[in-house]
Amino acid sequence: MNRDPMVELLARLPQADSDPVRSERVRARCGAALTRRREKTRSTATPGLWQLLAGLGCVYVAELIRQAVLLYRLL
Amino acid sequence: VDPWTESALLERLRDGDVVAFDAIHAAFNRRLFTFLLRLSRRRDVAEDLLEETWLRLVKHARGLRPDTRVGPWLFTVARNLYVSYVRARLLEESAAASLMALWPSIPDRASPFEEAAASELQRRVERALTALPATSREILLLIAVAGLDHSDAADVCRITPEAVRQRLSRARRQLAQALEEDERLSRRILLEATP
Repeated sequence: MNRDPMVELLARLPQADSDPVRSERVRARCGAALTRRREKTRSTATPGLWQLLAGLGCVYVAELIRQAVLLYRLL
Repeated sequence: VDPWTESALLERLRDGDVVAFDAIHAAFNRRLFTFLLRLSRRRDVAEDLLEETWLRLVKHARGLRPDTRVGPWLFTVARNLYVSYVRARLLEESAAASLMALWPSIPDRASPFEEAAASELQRRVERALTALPATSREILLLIAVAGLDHSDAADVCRITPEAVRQRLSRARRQLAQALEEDERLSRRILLEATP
Protein backbone atom coordinates (compact mmCIF):
# COMPACT_ATOMS: atom_id res chain seq x y z
CA MET A 1 0.00 0.00 0.00
CA ASN A 2 1.45 3.35 -0.95
CA ARG A 3 1.52 5.68 2.03
CA ASP A 4 2.35 9.12 0.73
CA PRO A 5 2.89 12.09 3.06
CA MET A 6 -0.68 13.32 2.57
CA VAL A 7 -2.13 9.99 3.64
CA GLU A 8 0.31 9.83 6.56
CA LEU A 9 -0.77 13.31 7.62
CA LEU A 10 -4.40 12.24 7.61
CA ALA A 11 -3.61 9.02 9.46
CA ARG A 12 -2.16 11.09 12.30
CA LEU A 13 -5.35 13.11 12.77
CA PRO A 14 -6.98 12.56 16.15
CA GLN A 15 -9.72 9.98 16.49
CA ALA A 16 -12.98 10.72 18.24
CA ASP A 17 -14.68 8.88 21.07
CA SER A 18 -18.40 8.32 21.10
CA ASP A 19 -20.40 9.05 24.23
CA PRO A 20 -19.16 6.34 26.66
CA VAL A 21 -22.51 5.96 28.41
CA ARG A 22 -24.40 5.48 25.18
CA SER A 23 -21.66 3.28 23.79
CA GLU A 24 -21.87 0.99 26.81
CA ARG A 25 -25.65 0.89 26.53
CA VAL A 26 -25.44 -0.14 22.88
CA ARG A 27 -22.81 -2.78 23.66
CA ALA A 28 -24.99 -4.21 26.46
CA ARG A 29 -28.07 -4.17 24.24
CA CYS A 30 -26.24 -6.05 21.50
CA GLY A 31 -24.87 -8.53 24.02
CA ALA A 32 -28.37 -9.16 25.38
CA ALA A 33 -29.72 -9.67 21.86
CA LEU A 34 -26.97 -12.19 21.09
CA THR A 35 -27.63 -14.07 24.35
CA ARG A 36 -31.38 -14.18 23.63
CA ARG A 37 -30.71 -15.51 20.16
CA ARG A 38 -28.32 -18.14 21.46
CA GLU A 39 -30.84 -19.34 24.04
CA LYS A 40 -33.57 -19.39 21.42
CA THR A 41 -31.38 -21.50 19.15
CA ARG A 42 -30.74 -23.94 21.99
CA SER A 43 -34.44 -24.18 22.88
CA THR A 44 -35.37 -24.78 19.26
CA ALA A 45 -32.73 -27.51 19.10
CA THR A 46 -34.21 -29.29 22.15
CA PRO A 47 -37.58 -30.17 20.51
CA GLY A 48 -35.60 -32.31 18.06
CA LEU A 49 -34.65 -34.56 20.96
CA TRP A 50 -38.24 -34.69 22.17
CA GLN A 51 -39.43 -35.60 18.68
CA LEU A 52 -36.94 -38.47 18.60
CA LEU A 53 -38.10 -39.74 21.99
CA ALA A 54 -41.75 -39.46 20.92
CA GLY A 55 -40.96 -41.40 17.75
CA LEU A 56 -39.25 -44.17 19.68
CA GLY A 57 -42.22 -44.26 22.06
CA CYS A 58 -44.60 -44.68 19.12
CA VAL A 59 -42.50 -47.53 17.74
CA TYR A 60 -42.52 -49.17 21.16
CA VAL A 61 -46.30 -48.86 21.53
CA ALA A 62 -46.86 -50.12 17.97
CA GLU A 63 -44.68 -53.14 18.66
CA LEU A 64 -46.54 -53.70 21.93
CA ILE A 65 -49.87 -53.71 20.08
CA ARG A 66 -48.49 -56.06 17.41
CA GLN A 67 -47.27 -58.44 20.04
CA ALA A 68 -50.65 -58.32 21.77
CA VAL A 69 -52.47 -59.06 18.49
CA LEU A 70 -50.14 -61.95 17.81
CA LEU A 71 -50.73 -63.23 21.28
CA TYR A 72 -54.52 -62.84 20.87
CA ARG A 73 -54.43 -64.79 17.58
CA LEU A 74 -52.37 -67.48 19.22
CA LEU A 75 -54.93 -67.72 21.97
CA VAL B 1 -7.39 -6.76 14.01
CA ASP B 2 -5.39 -9.19 11.89
CA PRO B 3 -7.34 -11.33 9.39
CA TRP B 4 -6.86 -14.56 11.38
CA THR B 5 -8.21 -13.06 14.58
CA GLU B 6 -10.97 -11.36 12.64
CA SER B 7 -12.00 -14.68 11.11
CA ALA B 8 -11.96 -16.46 14.49
CA LEU B 9 -14.00 -13.69 16.09
CA LEU B 10 -16.52 -13.83 13.27
CA GLU B 11 -16.95 -17.57 13.70
CA ARG B 12 -17.67 -17.11 17.40
CA LEU B 13 -19.94 -14.17 16.74
CA ARG B 14 -22.00 -16.28 14.35
CA ASP B 15 -22.59 -18.66 17.26
CA GLY B 16 -23.80 -15.74 19.37
CA ASP B 17 -20.65 -15.35 21.48
CA VAL B 18 -20.95 -12.10 23.45
CA VAL B 19 -17.22 -12.00 24.25
CA ALA B 20 -16.44 -12.08 20.52
CA PHE B 21 -18.87 -9.22 19.97
CA ASP B 22 -17.21 -7.21 22.74
CA ALA B 23 -13.80 -7.75 21.13
CA ILE B 24 -15.08 -6.58 17.74
CA HIS B 25 -16.80 -3.62 19.39
CA ALA B 26 -13.60 -2.64 21.18
CA ALA B 27 -11.57 -2.94 17.97
CA PHE B 28 -13.83 -0.96 15.66
CA ASN B 29 -16.09 1.34 17.71
CA ARG B 30 -13.69 4.29 17.78
CA ARG B 31 -12.71 4.02 14.11
CA LEU B 32 -16.33 3.69 13.02
CA PHE B 33 -17.37 6.69 15.10
CA THR B 34 -14.50 8.78 13.74
CA PHE B 35 -15.46 7.79 10.20
CA LEU B 36 -19.14 8.65 10.72
CA LEU B 37 -18.38 11.88 12.55
CA ARG B 38 -16.05 13.08 9.80
CA LEU B 39 -18.65 12.16 7.18
CA SER B 40 -21.64 13.72 8.87
CA ARG B 41 -19.86 16.41 10.91
CA ARG B 42 -22.62 16.02 13.49
CA ARG B 43 -22.06 14.18 16.73
CA ASP B 44 -25.73 13.28 17.25
CA VAL B 45 -26.03 11.85 13.73
CA ALA B 46 -22.77 9.92 14.07
CA GLU B 47 -23.90 8.46 17.41
CA ASP B 48 -27.24 7.34 15.92
CA LEU B 49 -25.62 5.77 12.87
CA LEU B 50 -23.00 4.05 15.00
CA GLU B 51 -25.68 2.47 17.19
CA GLU B 52 -27.59 1.27 14.14
CA THR B 53 -24.39 -0.20 12.66
CA TRP B 54 -23.82 -2.37 15.75
CA LEU B 55 -27.45 -3.45 15.85
CA ARG B 56 -27.20 -4.50 12.20
CA LEU B 57 -24.16 -6.59 12.98
CA VAL B 58 -26.03 -8.44 15.72
CA LYS B 59 -29.08 -8.86 13.50
CA HIS B 60 -27.10 -10.30 10.59
CA ALA B 61 -24.36 -12.10 12.56
CA ARG B 62 -25.71 -15.61 12.00
CA GLY B 63 -26.16 -15.07 8.28
CA LEU B 64 -22.63 -13.78 7.64
CA ARG B 65 -20.48 -15.97 5.43
CA PRO B 66 -17.39 -17.47 7.12
CA ASP B 67 -15.09 -15.51 4.78
CA THR B 68 -16.71 -12.16 5.59
CA ARG B 69 -14.24 -9.48 6.70
CA VAL B 70 -15.82 -7.82 9.73
CA GLY B 71 -14.04 -4.46 9.36
CA PRO B 72 -15.01 -3.74 5.76
CA TRP B 73 -18.49 -5.12 6.47
CA LEU B 74 -18.96 -2.65 9.33
CA PHE B 75 -17.68 0.29 7.29
CA THR B 76 -19.97 -0.70 4.41
CA VAL B 77 -22.99 -0.74 6.71
CA ALA B 78 -21.96 2.56 8.31
CA ARG B 79 -21.49 4.19 4.92
CA ASN B 80 -24.82 2.86 3.60
CA LEU B 81 -26.60 4.11 6.70
CA TYR B 82 -25.08 7.53 6.16
CA VAL B 83 -26.21 7.54 2.52
CA SER B 84 -29.72 6.55 3.67
CA TYR B 85 -29.65 9.34 6.22
CA VAL B 86 -28.68 11.87 3.57
CA ARG B 87 -31.35 10.50 1.24
CA ALA B 88 -34.00 10.83 3.97
CA ARG B 89 -32.88 14.38 4.61
CA LEU B 90 -33.05 15.04 0.90
CA LEU B 91 -36.67 13.90 0.83
CA GLU B 92 -37.46 15.91 3.93
CA GLU B 93 -36.07 19.07 2.50
CA SER B 94 -37.62 18.36 -0.93
CA ALA B 95 -34.45 19.56 -2.54
CA ALA B 96 -34.06 19.13 -6.25
CA ALA B 97 -30.31 18.77 -6.25
CA SER B 98 -28.70 15.39 -6.68
CA LEU B 99 -27.86 13.23 -3.70
CA MET B 100 -24.15 13.78 -3.96
CA ALA B 101 -24.53 17.50 -4.37
CA LEU B 102 -26.48 17.61 -1.15
CA TRP B 103 -23.77 15.88 0.83
CA PRO B 104 -22.45 18.60 3.05
CA SER B 105 -19.33 19.91 1.41
CA ILE B 106 -18.85 23.41 2.75
CA PRO B 107 -19.03 23.66 6.50
CA ASP B 108 -20.95 26.60 7.90
CA ARG B 109 -19.16 26.20 11.23
CA ALA B 110 -16.12 24.45 12.61
CA SER B 111 -16.43 20.67 12.78
CA PRO B 112 -16.00 18.97 16.17
CA PHE B 113 -12.58 17.77 15.00
CA GLU B 114 -11.57 21.23 13.91
CA GLU B 115 -12.47 22.60 17.33
CA ALA B 116 -10.53 19.86 19.07
CA ALA B 117 -7.50 19.80 16.78
CA ALA B 118 -4.37 20.40 18.82
CA SER B 119 -2.05 21.99 16.31
CA GLU B 120 -2.49 24.63 13.67
CA LEU B 121 -1.54 22.11 10.98
CA GLN B 122 -4.17 19.67 12.23
CA ARG B 123 -6.74 22.46 12.26
CA ARG B 124 -5.87 23.33 8.66
CA VAL B 125 -6.05 19.69 7.57
CA GLU B 126 -9.41 19.25 9.30
CA ARG B 127 -10.70 22.40 7.61
CA ALA B 128 -9.45 21.27 4.21
CA LEU B 129 -10.87 17.78 4.70
CA THR B 130 -14.35 19.02 5.55
CA ALA B 131 -14.33 21.27 2.49
CA LEU B 132 -13.70 18.35 0.09
CA PRO B 133 -16.47 16.83 -2.04
CA ALA B 134 -18.14 13.86 -0.32
CA THR B 135 -16.66 11.14 -2.54
CA SER B 136 -13.13 12.49 -2.03
CA ARG B 137 -13.58 12.86 1.71
CA GLU B 138 -15.01 9.39 1.96
CA ILE B 139 -12.14 7.67 0.17
CA LEU B 140 -9.53 9.55 2.21
CA LEU B 141 -11.31 8.65 5.44
CA LEU B 142 -11.55 4.97 4.54
CA ILE B 143 -7.93 4.57 3.48
CA ALA B 144 -5.97 7.11 5.44
CA VAL B 145 -7.98 7.37 8.63
CA ALA B 146 -9.82 4.02 8.96
CA GLY B 147 -6.81 2.15 7.58
CA LEU B 148 -8.58 0.01 4.98
CA ASP B 149 -6.60 -1.21 1.98
CA HIS B 150 -7.65 -0.38 -1.59
CA SER B 151 -9.48 -3.64 -2.08
CA ASP B 152 -11.54 -3.27 1.13
CA ALA B 153 -12.28 0.38 0.37
CA ALA B 154 -13.46 -0.69 -3.08
CA ASP B 155 -15.87 -3.17 -1.49
CA VAL B 156 -17.18 -0.54 0.89
CA CYS B 157 -17.81 2.00 -1.89
CA ARG B 158 -18.91 -0.68 -4.37
CA ILE B 159 -16.39 0.40 -6.95
CA THR B 160 -13.35 -1.27 -8.50
CA PRO B 161 -9.89 -1.03 -6.87
CA GLU B 162 -8.77 0.91 -9.95
CA ALA B 163 -11.56 3.44 -9.35
CA VAL B 164 -10.40 3.66 -5.73
CA ARG B 165 -6.87 4.51 -6.90
CA GLN B 166 -8.23 7.20 -9.22
CA ARG B 167 -10.50 8.67 -6.53
CA LEU B 168 -7.70 8.63 -3.99
CA SER B 169 -5.32 10.35 -6.36
CA ARG B 170 -7.92 13.03 -7.14
CA ALA B 171 -8.75 13.44 -3.45
CA ARG B 172 -5.08 13.90 -2.56
CA ARG B 173 -4.74 16.60 -5.21
CA GLN B 174 -7.88 18.34 -3.96
CA LEU B 175 -6.68 18.19 -0.37
CA ALA B 176 -3.28 19.56 -1.28
CA GLN B 177 -4.95 22.34 -3.25
CA ALA B 178 -7.30 23.13 -0.35
CA LEU B 179 -4.34 23.29 2.03
CA GLU B 180 -2.44 25.63 -0.28
CA GLU B 181 -5.45 27.91 -0.62
CA ASP B 182 -5.91 27.90 3.13
CA GLU B 183 -2.26 28.86 3.62
CA ARG B 184 -2.50 31.63 1.02
CA LEU B 185 -5.59 32.98 2.75
CA SER B 186 -3.90 32.87 6.15
CA ARG B 187 -0.88 34.74 4.77
CA ARG B 188 -3.08 37.40 3.20
CA ILE B 189 -5.01 37.90 6.43
CA LEU B 190 -1.72 38.15 8.32
CA LEU B 191 -0.33 40.70 5.84
CA GLU B 192 -3.51 42.79 5.96
CA ALA B 193 -3.51 42.70 9.74
CA THR B 194 0.13 43.82 9.94
CA PRO B 195 0.42 47.63 10.13
